[in-house]
Amino acid sequence: MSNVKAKIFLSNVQQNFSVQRKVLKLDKNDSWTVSSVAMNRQSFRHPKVRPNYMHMYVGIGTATIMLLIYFSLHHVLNEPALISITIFNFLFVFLLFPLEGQLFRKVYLLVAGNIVGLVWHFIKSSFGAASVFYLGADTLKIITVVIGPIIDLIWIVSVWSLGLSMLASAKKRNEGDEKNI
Amino acid sequence: MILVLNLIFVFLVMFMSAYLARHYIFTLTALYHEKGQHHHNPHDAAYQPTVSVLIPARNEEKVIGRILQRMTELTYPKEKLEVIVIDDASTDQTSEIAEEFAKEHEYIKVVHRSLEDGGKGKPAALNHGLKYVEGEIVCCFDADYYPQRDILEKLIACFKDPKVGAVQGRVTVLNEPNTLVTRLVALERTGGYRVDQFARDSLGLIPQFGGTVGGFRRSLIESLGGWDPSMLAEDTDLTFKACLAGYKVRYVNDAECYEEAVENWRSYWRQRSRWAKGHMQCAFRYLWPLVKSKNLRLREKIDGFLLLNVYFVPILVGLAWILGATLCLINPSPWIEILWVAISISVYSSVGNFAPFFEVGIGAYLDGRKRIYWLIPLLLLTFIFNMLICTKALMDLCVSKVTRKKRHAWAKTLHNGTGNCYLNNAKKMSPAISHFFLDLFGSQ
Repeated sequence: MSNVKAKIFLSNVQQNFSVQRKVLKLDKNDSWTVSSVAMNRQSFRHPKVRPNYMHMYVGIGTATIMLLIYFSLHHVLNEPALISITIFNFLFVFLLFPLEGQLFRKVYLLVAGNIVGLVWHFIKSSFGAASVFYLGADTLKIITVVIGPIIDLIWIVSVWSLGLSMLASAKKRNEGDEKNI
Repeated sequence: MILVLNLIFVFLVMFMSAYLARHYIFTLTALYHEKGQHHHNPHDAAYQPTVSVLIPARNEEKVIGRILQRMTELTYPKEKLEVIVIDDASTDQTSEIAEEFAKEHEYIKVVHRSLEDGGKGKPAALNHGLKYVEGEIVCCFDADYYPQRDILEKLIACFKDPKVGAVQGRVTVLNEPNTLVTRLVALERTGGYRVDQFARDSLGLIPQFGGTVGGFRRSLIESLGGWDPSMLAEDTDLTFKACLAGYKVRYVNDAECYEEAVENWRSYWRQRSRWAKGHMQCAFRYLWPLVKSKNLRLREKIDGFLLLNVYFVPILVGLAWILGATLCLINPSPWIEILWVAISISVYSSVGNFAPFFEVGIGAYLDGRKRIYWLIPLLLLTFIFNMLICTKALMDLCVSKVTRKKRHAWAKTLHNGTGNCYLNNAKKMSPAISHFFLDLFGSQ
């Protein structure tokens, strides 16, 4: 009885795979069946990225100017804010600016990211100032210190990921356009 | 007292910073390293040693047919191929399905373990299979995996170099769209393989043999005494044994294989708990031999040290978090806030390879992904979850040391075959999933 079940299962498996081959029109030379579903991801090359140093230098310049402005406003921005904005600029300039994409888009994303960072810290400070009245300074300090590692970086991770997502999407679009031409 | 606490905090932060610097270098390497991986021609007919593929299977009726079917489709010459299914005392249809394939294909063999001997974990099953192996190279695949047709050519090509003892291929998640957990596991895999393993191979460090989607020289594995059943991370154990014996481990990014990732937090906990305990066992066993080794260069020793300790990092981040918060409250000083940054970045990391968020993001970019970046902030969830897992694993290990109970049960990961739907039912895919796959692999 179990043998019969096994045969039925086996035939199902084989049938499924033959259907799969038919549906996907597998090329014999193609090495990767699933990739065929998914448009041949597998290829024997590594898409090496050629760093765009010109863009990176422009990014360094832009970030430096913005940081100089922030440091001159040190009475407005506190240390955690300055540190997190510096980290964001560092990661953005050295990892995203050399990637493929328009310079204007990258500068726009960098400036937008800085604005988000500033707004984030102003909201955080305002929330702190407002909460002192209700929670008391000590309680607020404990809360700030304990959840600090999460709060200080969440905007960096989100905005950095968004920037990378936009660059990747633009790259895909460009590749599509080139193929259409 | 305060001074001592400050010093401990500084030490912990320096330890984390070492990891962050390492992974920043890995990220830049994966992106821009000019040399890349050295490729042999994967279809070079001049070098085609005999290969034995081991597939340990315990109650895998839902997935065993899939991988065996794939084995029959491999492009490697069948006269040089041997597939050994190790039926590890299965109580379902696994054995019958495997036997059916063995009847039809003479290069497929099935070896059975009795109910008394079986079920003692993957290393024990693999050792049983090793007795029947005749090929020069031994490759391993888990039953829920689905490799490329020419994966063996790609993996085997590296063995042309006699110094290479083991080769690891890339693991990609098959059932990624299923749940949040599978998506997060896919992110971890992307950072871990596309950037971390690739960079380690490119920089001549120690890529890790992952226990599946990889191969070993039979002579080496036999001389090392096979898989150690007392280790829960037998793959890491073998990696370090091979490196300490003077062999290289290589990673081939092109040799891709799909896996069925765990789909819920409970399975995630069980699987990661086993990995964490196993890795910690290896750390206790190999740290000192690694330091003393004369076969490894300094950079390999540093990388090996960081690799062995990777599952201690979540615990140390947690400690630094508590300590830093305490210091901020009892003795605030500006430099603590500066050092605090290392903790902040560390909590947005994946754990298996300690890939920070920027490494994961760049891995996804190199894979041509478009939308997966939106999930990167959620790495925080898995990191905090892993803090608990690793802490529990360390406590369990300490307890077992104290009570001298050295055996740890092998927690088998259950596979329900849901990945099959992405392979077999292309017609039935919903538009959302079809779009997902277009995003996943890029459009042409």
